[in-house]
Amino acid sequence: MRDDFDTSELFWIVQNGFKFTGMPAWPGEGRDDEVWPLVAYLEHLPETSPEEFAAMTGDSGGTFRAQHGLDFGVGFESSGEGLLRYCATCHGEAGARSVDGLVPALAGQNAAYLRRSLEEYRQNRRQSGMMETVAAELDTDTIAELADHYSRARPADQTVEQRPDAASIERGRAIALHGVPTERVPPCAACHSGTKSDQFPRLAGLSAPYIEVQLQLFHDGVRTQSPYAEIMHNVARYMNREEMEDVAAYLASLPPGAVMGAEDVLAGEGR
Amino acid sequence: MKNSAARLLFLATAMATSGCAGVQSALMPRGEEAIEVDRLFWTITGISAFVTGLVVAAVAVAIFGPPRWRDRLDKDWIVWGGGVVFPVVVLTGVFIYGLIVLRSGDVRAREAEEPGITVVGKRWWWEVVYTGPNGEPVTTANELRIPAGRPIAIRLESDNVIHSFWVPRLAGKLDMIPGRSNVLTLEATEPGLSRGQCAEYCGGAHALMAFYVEVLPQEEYDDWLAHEASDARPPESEQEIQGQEVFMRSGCGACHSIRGTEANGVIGPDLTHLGSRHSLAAAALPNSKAAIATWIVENQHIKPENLMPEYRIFEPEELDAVAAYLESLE
Repeated sequence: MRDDFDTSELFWIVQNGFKFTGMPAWPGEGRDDEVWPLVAYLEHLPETSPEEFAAMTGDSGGTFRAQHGLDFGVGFESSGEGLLRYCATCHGEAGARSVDGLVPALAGQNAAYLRRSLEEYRQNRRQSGMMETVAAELDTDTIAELADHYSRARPADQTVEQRPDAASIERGRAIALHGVPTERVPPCAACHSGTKSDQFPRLAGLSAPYIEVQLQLFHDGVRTQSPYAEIMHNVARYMNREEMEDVAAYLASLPPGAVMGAEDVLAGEGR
Repeated sequence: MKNSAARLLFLATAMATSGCAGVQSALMPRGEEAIEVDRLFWTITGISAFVTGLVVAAVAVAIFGPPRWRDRLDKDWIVWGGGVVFPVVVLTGVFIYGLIVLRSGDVRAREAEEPGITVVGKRWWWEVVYTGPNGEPVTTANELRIPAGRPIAIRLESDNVIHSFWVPRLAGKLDMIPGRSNVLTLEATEPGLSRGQCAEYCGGAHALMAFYVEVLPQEEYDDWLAHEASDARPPESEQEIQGQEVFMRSGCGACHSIRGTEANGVIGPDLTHLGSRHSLAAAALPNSKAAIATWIVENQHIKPENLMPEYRIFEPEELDAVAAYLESLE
């Protein structure tokens, strides 16, 4: 395959699909950030053994077996347990700690927000090549059950392993709690402290890469298709890259499920 | 034919003069500076009309007049007197008068007592900061109130582009320049309502950047300022209570302040006493519950590219409650 297509061609194929072949376009419009890692992986794929592949995809047993002898590890079952196992492939066991920083942890997240997110993915109002295909298979009741399940799950005790520098966390803390009024950036805590509307996601303890990517999507106008996203677009459009990184570092440093700005959180910050 | 021409003339006159009436007319001055400017305007207009009449009469005589009159015009002193001496005298007089009007602002500025009022041009609204009874800053927006009968120093600032502060009924216009603090002295002669307007193009919604100026008798002004400095009125009715709850949990306080509550944002206008203002959104809308609700969900339609996002996240009764709460903040 590497001999047939160069990197940019692979990107084009994954993003746009291949006409008359059944290869679809990437469902997440504007999500180049999802396509590029996949291209990198495709280039690496020929050197991957079936065992490595199974390990990467999480070999927890499932019903879907592809042809060509490859075991995709897990399948998409409509039963509750199978479904949770499927979610866990990326979001981790009980959603407490995801497999990668780009994937948000779900445990303890607001149910209303989780429900809205899945609905938005399902209605193509939030873009992601990963999540749209999953959400399209879910009905309203299942979405409500999943949201309920993850909102009641206990968050991980510790944050995802990270080594952000203390100065960055401190700068991020100032932005998260006080905003940058001169640049028209309001404080994150005004909506995301964990005590506001349950339509607003809790951000404490989410991984830094996920926060950075989402802020960038809001900033660039990729994630603007719901009324809530429009509000965030208006916030992130005035943030520069460094501010996003600082905020992400600060949020990631908080204990999962913490209330932003609360006294005990302030005391336990940066641990 | 003649009749229709007369009607047309009447219509044109009516249209031209109707723009002059009302709260934003320099021809109905209610401030010392505006009165002086008004006098200067009418003086120059009168002189211009007189000179124009004189010239027209002279031309008419030169063309149609009897030979004896035409002979009288045919003199060197007419050319020297009417063409050089007369204009120099008249224009110098007008110039000096203009300078006197210009200087008199300085005298008023010296008489203005501290602390004065600061007005900051925003995109596209006005932040107004008074000094409260105890010396504390009292921030409000999109409306200016001043006492009648004494000069008030208005510090004009901007944190973005150049705006210009103009209340035609009270004084001339003065630019608000980023990084500078220009001082305009307003001295209103009598209580009443005037309207001001940004007079320097400052972006898409420039035309929708206006405000009202309410001139009050000194005592009423003092009472009003004491009230303005106080915290917001707590919600009373069930709907207002629900409205406050929705306002707080929806993050409105990230940008807006309502003193006495947890909302302490500084990016958007202060809403502590929103209900007592004459208008909404820098005089873009009348101040009513319905207008507040419309602004929350359709502000980009009303005032394109203003910095507030549209909050189309509320259920109808939530929106109604928020609007009721904000309207109750008198």
